[in-house]
Amino acid sequence: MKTQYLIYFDTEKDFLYAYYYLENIGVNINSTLTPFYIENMSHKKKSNISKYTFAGGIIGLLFSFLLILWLGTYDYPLNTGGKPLFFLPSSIPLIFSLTVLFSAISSFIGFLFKTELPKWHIPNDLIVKAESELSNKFCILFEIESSYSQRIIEELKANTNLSGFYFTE
Amino acid sequence: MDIKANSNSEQNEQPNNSKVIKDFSILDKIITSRFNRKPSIRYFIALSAAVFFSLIGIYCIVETLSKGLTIWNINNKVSWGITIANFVFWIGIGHAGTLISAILFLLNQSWRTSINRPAEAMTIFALCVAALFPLLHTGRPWFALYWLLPYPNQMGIWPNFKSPLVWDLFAIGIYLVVSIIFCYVGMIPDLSQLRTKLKSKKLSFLYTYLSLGWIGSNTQWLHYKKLYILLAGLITPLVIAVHTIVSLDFSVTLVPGWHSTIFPPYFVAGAIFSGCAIVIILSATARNLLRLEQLITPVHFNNLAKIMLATGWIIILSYILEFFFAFLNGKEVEINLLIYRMTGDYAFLFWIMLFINIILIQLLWLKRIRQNITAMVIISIFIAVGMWLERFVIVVTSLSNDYFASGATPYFPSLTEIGILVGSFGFFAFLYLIFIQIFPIISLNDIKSEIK
Repeated sequence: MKTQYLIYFDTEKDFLYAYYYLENIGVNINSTLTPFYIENMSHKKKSNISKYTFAGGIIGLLFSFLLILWLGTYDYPLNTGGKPLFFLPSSIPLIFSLTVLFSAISSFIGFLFKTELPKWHIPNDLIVKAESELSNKFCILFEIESSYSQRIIEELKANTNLSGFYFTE
Repeated sequence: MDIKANSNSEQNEQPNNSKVIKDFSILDKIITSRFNRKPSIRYFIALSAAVFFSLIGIYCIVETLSKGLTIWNINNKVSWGITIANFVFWIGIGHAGTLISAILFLLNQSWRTSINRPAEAMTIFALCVAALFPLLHTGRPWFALYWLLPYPNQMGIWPNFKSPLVWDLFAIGIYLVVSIIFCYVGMIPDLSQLRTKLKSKKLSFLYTYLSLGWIGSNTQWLHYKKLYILLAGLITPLVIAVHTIVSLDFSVTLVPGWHSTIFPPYFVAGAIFSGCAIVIILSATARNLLRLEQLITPVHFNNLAKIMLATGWIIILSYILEFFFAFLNGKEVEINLLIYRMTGDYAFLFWIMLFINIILIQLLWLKRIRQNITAMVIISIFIAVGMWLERFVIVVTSLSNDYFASGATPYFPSLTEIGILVGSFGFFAFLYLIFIQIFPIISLNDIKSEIK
């Protein structure tokens, strides 16, 4: 039978020790909750939000370019003092602005998509507890066979300043 | 499912508590305590003053809308009065906010964390206020969207996409949207961390929904940091572009004093210069009203003063170049304009401007002054005045003294125009004071990562 644990620490150092310890012994870490971004944990993962930024930028660029081209040369080709109907340099400020707008919005949408936000219901009771009571703590949520759990907690208590833990059976 | 607990809470209460816990707790207490008590008398006095000045502005706006632009003192020659000077001034103010927030973030300047949120709020509110002026200047603002937005009118004619005025609408509108996203994204973790610590149910409800269900998991932080860097990277060139485009409103014309290639960097430096001054005033206000002495320290004012000094010197260089180019190209109309600025109807404003923007800012070389918050606020108020005068001098003196000698009636703003200017400051202060009362004015997660 598996037991789900939520262990929490006061310091980043203890938290990182526990995180790597659990990872090395092959424990299934479900999630970590920290009051701020911890860079050392992200060595294996990379965010691919920049793909959304790039895609948004390309869409913005094409949209603004084609809009100006279409309205200047096809929809209402207005000859003002013999100036060309479409002139790229004078279109750059608009194309640039719209490219940035589309990039920023698509990045934000990508962020919401990747982090699965907004989420109004948190299904895990331990995360609810951590989120409401332990907002300044460094928490690790993991699952482990009940028979091993006592040994691992003892090991963590011996090597770190484990502030406390919750578990569900 | 039963949750069983086991904690070492006694151990945490020992005198040997880690610095981290102690500091985090103090930080949370500082931020949440003001939400859990009534605002101070000083806050209400400041808010009342802001409302009073806003009402003056609203009265003048209503008067303008009901009677038309004839009650302004603009004339055929000086068709852009102080309303456009106000517009440029407020757009400039909106720039330093993002500069402090985004550019200093990209440059890894950790001291920005205590002042980036007031600066971001300032950007948004300054842009809202700035947008008011060109709308009013159209005379019939209810038609403004029809004239400005990119869709064809009843004749099938689109707005002129080759005009800087249309670029302006796009650049400022997009800058506002991206600034709101940037400011909001920065607040999501803080709103989530604070929502359970608030006594006010309404505020807690608001924070819960605005935090979108953020829990601070590693995956969320990973994407969050990436998004923040990307937005900072996107908004930085936008800051430069927006004020460059505002300067093009002037420099693409043939009006003497405006038709100059120096305008884009000159305007951008001026915007940062005046914006830093307003950030100093706003940070000092937040520090005083919300008792944030431990978080907003003289170090922040010292660093902002250094940025002001650097940008101030770019402005001084621009003034010198303006004179140099006028005499180098030998155009009589340009030389006449400079002489007119120094000796004409607005000479006293010109010399006050030069005194503030050249002489007074040299005080910032002194570390004692830079770290004295009262002195910094006073100097910042002067700089704001000096930069507003610069906008006035650029707009009004050039139009007063262009190629046509006819109809050269000196322009002095009417009381209604001055009332709208006063109202804009009141409205800006009102928005800011409401913001600091509702939202966390300090970036909690950034500061926590600094003091870890």
